[in-house]
Amino acid sequence: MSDQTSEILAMAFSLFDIVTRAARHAIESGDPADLRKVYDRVTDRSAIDDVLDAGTEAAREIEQDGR
Amino acid sequence: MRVKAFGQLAISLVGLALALLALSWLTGCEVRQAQSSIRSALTAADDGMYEAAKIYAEKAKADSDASLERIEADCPRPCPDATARYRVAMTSWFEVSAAIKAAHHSLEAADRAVDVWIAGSKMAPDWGSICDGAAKTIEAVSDATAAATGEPPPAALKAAPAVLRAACQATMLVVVGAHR
Repeated sequence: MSDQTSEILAMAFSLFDIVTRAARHAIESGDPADLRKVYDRVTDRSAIDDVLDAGTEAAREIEQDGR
Repeated sequence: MRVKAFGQLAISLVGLALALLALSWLTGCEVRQAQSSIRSALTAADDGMYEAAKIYAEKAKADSDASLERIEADCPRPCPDATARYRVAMTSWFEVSAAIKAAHHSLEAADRAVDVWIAGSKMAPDWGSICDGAAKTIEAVSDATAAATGEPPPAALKAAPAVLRAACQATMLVVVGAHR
């Protein structure tokens, strides 16, 4: 193998290595569009809202003496 | 000799073209990575707030039960202003709830800006203020929970605005770099 061929092969392998690493990095990072799932799951209501709603309902019953 | 020189030049040009192609591809990856990173930061902040709310809900429930007991003890049945009394007694928790909602909406607004960035490769010009606004609303959640519980906020919640601001600034650097 001539020196020139070796250089070309080394360069090709180097580029292949860079591109492969970049591709792996991109795959591992995840698709930005897929990361919406948290927003799909999370709504405006928090667990504290459930407590406050139940408490308000209980207070309303005390107000009407229905408890 | 000349043939060899042209051969070397051709090889160099092919190499340069390949290198430029790889660099361009890598720059694209950097933007994509930044989009993933900022979206992860925003959704993690939102998810973290709701996880924190689940933990705080126990304390809110204890305060709520105690408030209802006090109302029943202080006011004969039927107690005409029991609901108003309850709202006053639980003001700080209503403020926590409102702060969480505001933070959720501001994080969604920031996420919509990321959507635009992904779709059109252009970030909103007011990204800095959108992101800073989101960080401020998380600070408000931290302050409201501290007021409601009488305890300092957890370290993660206290650190969240600074983490988000750092992620926003990192995004700006990539946006500026990609548009240069």
